[in-house]
Parts: sequence; C-alpha cells; structure tokens
Amino acid sequence: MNDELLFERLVSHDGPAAPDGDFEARLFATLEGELRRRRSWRLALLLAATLVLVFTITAAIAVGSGLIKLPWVDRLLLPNPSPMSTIVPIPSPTSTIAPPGTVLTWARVAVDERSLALLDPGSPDSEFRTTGVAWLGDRFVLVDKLLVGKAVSTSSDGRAWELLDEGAPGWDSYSLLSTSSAIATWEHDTVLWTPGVYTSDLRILSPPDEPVTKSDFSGGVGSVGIGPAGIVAHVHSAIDFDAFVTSKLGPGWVDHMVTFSFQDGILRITTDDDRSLEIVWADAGFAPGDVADRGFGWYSPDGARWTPIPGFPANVSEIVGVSDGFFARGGGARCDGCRDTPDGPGMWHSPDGLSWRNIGAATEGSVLPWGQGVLVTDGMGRFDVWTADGTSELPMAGDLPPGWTASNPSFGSVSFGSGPFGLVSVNVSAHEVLFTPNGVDWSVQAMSAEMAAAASLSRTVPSWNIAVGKDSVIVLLWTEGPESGPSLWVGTVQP
Amino acid sequence: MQPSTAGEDRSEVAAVFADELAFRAWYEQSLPRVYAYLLHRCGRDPELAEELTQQAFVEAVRSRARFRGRSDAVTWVVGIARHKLVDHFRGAERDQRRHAALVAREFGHHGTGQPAPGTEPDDIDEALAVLPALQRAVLVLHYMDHLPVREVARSIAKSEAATASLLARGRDAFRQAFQEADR
Repeated sequence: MNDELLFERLVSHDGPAAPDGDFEARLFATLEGELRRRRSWRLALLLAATLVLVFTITAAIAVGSGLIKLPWVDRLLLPNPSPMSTIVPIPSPTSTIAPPGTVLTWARVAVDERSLALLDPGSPDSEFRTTGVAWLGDRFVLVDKLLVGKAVSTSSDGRAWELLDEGAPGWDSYSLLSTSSAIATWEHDTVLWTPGVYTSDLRILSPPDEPVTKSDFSGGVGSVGIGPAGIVAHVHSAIDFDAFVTSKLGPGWVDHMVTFSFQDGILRITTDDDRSLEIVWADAGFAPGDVADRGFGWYSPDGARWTPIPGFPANVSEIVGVSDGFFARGGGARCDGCRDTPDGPGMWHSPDGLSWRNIGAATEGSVLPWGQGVLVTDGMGRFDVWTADGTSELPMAGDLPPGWTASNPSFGSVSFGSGPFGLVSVNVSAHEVLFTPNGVDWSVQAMSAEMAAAASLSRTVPSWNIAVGKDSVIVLLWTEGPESGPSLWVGTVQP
Repeated sequence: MQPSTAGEDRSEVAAVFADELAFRAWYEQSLPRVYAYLLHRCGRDPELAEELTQQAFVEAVRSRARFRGRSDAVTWVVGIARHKLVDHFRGAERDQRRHAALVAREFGHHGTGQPAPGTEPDDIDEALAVLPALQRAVLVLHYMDHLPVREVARSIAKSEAATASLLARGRDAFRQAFQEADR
C-alpha cells in the first residue's frame, strides 16, 4: 500500500459505534447524581452568600450611623467624588489626512455557493475544512476543501470569480493548494510544501503544465524561496533539537551547553565549564537527516535539476525569492564569534541562490517580499526592510497611530500579506486595517460593522487569509453564528 | 439542524441541564457520537473509551456554565472528549518516559478490555497501538480530526516545530508499523 492510500485509510478510520447499554445507564445515573449535587451546592452557596450580605449591610449601617465605633474609620481617606470622565474622540488618519491612494474600499464578494459553502455550524464538516486564498502571479485562487471534496475558483481582480470544473485547465495544480501548509510564488510559478514533515514533497506548479514533484531530499523541507534566479530549499532533520535534548534532560538536570553545531557529519558541543565533545556521526551509525542538524541548502534553476549549496546558512527559518535574488533568515545557532560564518544567525542574501553573504542581525517577524528586498514584519510595530545593502525601517513606521507602533502581545490577532498592491495588515481584534502601497503613504481604517462582524472568528494564518494582488487585496474572514464559515472580502483603492 | 447564534446556543445548553427530558435527549444524542469518537481513536478498546466518555460527560456537566456557544451542545461535548483523549495520551507519554525514556517503539496502550462486537482492532489500530503516545496523539488529531499543526501543537502544549517533528516521526513509525502488521 503506498503512502497516499495508507494515510487516506487513517483519515477515514472512523465510524459509528454504540456504547454498551449498561454503561449508558450507569453513566446517565452518574450524571444525574452530579447534577443534583451541583444544584445542592449552589443552594448552599446562595444561602451562605445571602447571610454574609445581610450581615455586611447590617454592620455597615451600624458603623455609619455611629452605633458601632471602629477605631480606624477616622483615618480612612475617602476619595472625593470625581466627575464622570469624558470621552474625547481621537481623529483617525482615515478621517483627516489619509493620502490619496491609501484608503481601501471594502466589499463582500458574492461567490458561487459551491465555491464557499456556508455550512451548518453543527455539521462535522464545518470543523474539517481547509479554505485558502492566494495570489499566483496573475490571478487569485480560492480553494475550499471539505471532507467530501474541494472547490477551486479563480479571479483576476478579486471581484468576479469563476468556479472551475474538475479537469479544467489548471484545476489539478490549483487544487493542490489545499494539500500543503506553505506556499511561495514568483509570477506564474508556485512552490508548495509542508514544513517539518519528514517525507514532505515539494511541488512546483506552473499551470497549465502538469505539477512537478520533488521528493527525494534527505530530510524534511523547512522553507523554500522562488524567484527569477530559481528555487532555493532548506532541508533539515525532522527530529527537532528540543525533543532530542529534553529526552536526555530530566528533572533537576542543568543545561551546561554553550554551543551545539552539526556540520560535515560531526556534532560539536561545548559547555560553560570549558568541556567539549565531538562525535563523528557516521561512527555512531547515523546518516544526515537522522538528528537535529543545521540543515542543508539545495538550489534548482528550474525545479527539475537540483544541486547542494555549499556553505548554506545554518538553521534557516525563512527563504524569500525576489527580483534581486534570495533572502534567508538563519537563526538559532548558539555560537560566539560566528556571525560571518554559515553557522551565524542573521539575515543572509544571495544574488544567485548559490553564494550567500550575512548582511546583518535579523529581527523577529515574518519575512515577506517587498520590492527588490524583503520586509520583516509582525504586521504591527515592526516594519524592517532588508535589501542586499542592509536594513532600514519603513518610513511610515514612525508615524503610525497608537496600537500600530508596538508589537502586539496577542500577535495571533493580526493577519497580513504583501504583494504588488502593497502591504495589508488586518487586526481582527481591533477591527482595523492598515494599508500602505509603498511604505511611505499609509492609512489605518476601521472595518465596517458588517466586516467586523464577519471577522468574529478569524483564523490567523497570514499566508492563507490574505492574498495581495496587482490592484486589490482579498481577505478571508471567519465568522460564527448564523453564517458560520468563511466570507471573502475585496479591498480596492478608489481612483 | 438550524443555524443558531452563540446566545441561542448558550441558552440551549442551559435548557439541556434545566429539564430532565431535554437532558436525556441531549445525552442520548451525544453519547454515541462521543463514544464512537473515542473508541476509534484509542485502539478500539471499549473500556478505555467508556472511561474517557464518562470523564467527558462529567466534565461537561461540571463546566456547563463555561460553554461559550461556539457550537451546538453535542459538538461541545465532543470537544471536551478530545481534551480528555489528549490528556490520556499525555499521561501515557509520561508513563512511557518514566519507564523507558529512550525506547520509543515499545510503548503503546494495550487495553485490557475485550473488543466490542464488530469493532475488533484492524491493521490500522494495530499500527497505531505500537506508536509512542504523543506520536499517536498527533497522528489522530492531525489526520483523523483534521486539525492543522498549529492547533495540534496547542492541544498537546508543544511548539509548532516540535509538533511537526512529532508528526514526521509518527508518520514514519506508523508506516513501518503498518507494514509489519500487514505481513
């Protein structure tokens, strides 16, 4: 049985089952008893609370009227009644001086009901769906996958959508979007993969050509970048370092490790008491990819021919392809004085995918394509632009209103994406949208009441919630209640 | 079933627990779903499924005031059952660490109960049963419950990277165990 069939069987390994009648009756009796006991406790608690309340009121009346004199009462400082605070409206940029070309007009997109089925919230199907939207060079693609099948729709402007019939040109490629959890695009080419999965395939889509699959890496695909120079993939062990170490360290153990590196088949560890250890991995019977390691880089000019990248940065978390080559954020290496070596953390740049150079200490956040470089952002508070020459902050960063100037502790409430249209960041908690076409001009707008209501249960996987196209942005919002499920919104700039 | 609002769902649960007939109707509707959900995820061991089912329903009764109205009352108790299942896997994983920290393949929940009629373990159950508990948990949550890695990570209180790694190892071990069980 091949992998696909095996995991299909696991997915469908479910079905009805009737509990034993005795158990059913026994459990019902237990629950009834539990309910009765809870009701009795509640009555007792209510009675006790009432007694305490009566006693407190009586005592307060007695003290207040002077019947009972308490020695410390005279020393109490009673605050003067303060006037009711007034609410002063703070003008938002939208209502004052939002530059032309930055104010988005939002509209809910009506799509064929088969494209985005609104399910009964009680239906098990509603929990088992994957819905995503992406911009693939010249069109938006929307995939809605339920247990029973999937629907694929495309749109060039985000307003008019076409539901593709199964077998239509591009259907095979587009429908694969629901099978992977990560995506990178460059013009009409798309790469799909599932990070961290040891046997992950890397799929390259160039519709209407047949998808190409690359599946013989020694390890899992961590991150991939695609650009005009080709494709760069970071491949690493699926056995994560944390799990490896915590299985060794039990309660009461102290971590003395200072550095940990794995290169050329040798594991090197140094400790804070000047001890060191080197293990030749092959001698211990391990092969590359068997344990946590720094990872390997692979380069392909066309998706078909692949070659290892010598000196690829260690522990790369994100790779992005842009017109000026590739950017990769390496991190996690615990080493002193290694900044300029491939084991050093930081932001790395390569013009061709093969030669890499450390261009600075990277900051936290998602790495998105931005012009010829990349933008490291958390959607609010951090907007660092990286080019081959180094980093700078987006000019707008210093002008943003409160709430958008500091990293949000509840980061999960912000979804964001970038594309030819600009950067769009949606705060589903504050019901605000930040848009900038160029990093200089910007606006922060409040969502309409309808849009805010639709965002009441928004999922927050940025790459699947927001697709930024050429002259519009698509946002997928999730709501609960009578219309539980996703709704699609298009934002455009009025001329 | 008609769509309902969160407020209506909250009052639906209040009505379930306020009225004996409504409570019995909810119980009779929920019990087979909860039991089947658990039975198929714990190696078709009826004793374990019953134990976890009981825990889920007792928890539902005790925590009914915390119901947020994001699903109907049946889906809600299935959600509690999922938490109980994860707790079980995590407890089993702690036992595993205690007894054989580095021996991954030798652990599995081998229930003492006899299979319920018509629900004998098949090769998938047997392959799942030999996996370390947490690997089994992530496979069940990801493949059978269709949770994305992020939500699986939240359920088992691990990082996303660690969860993805567990998933990868679980897939490998499951594939190997299935091939052995299939021979």
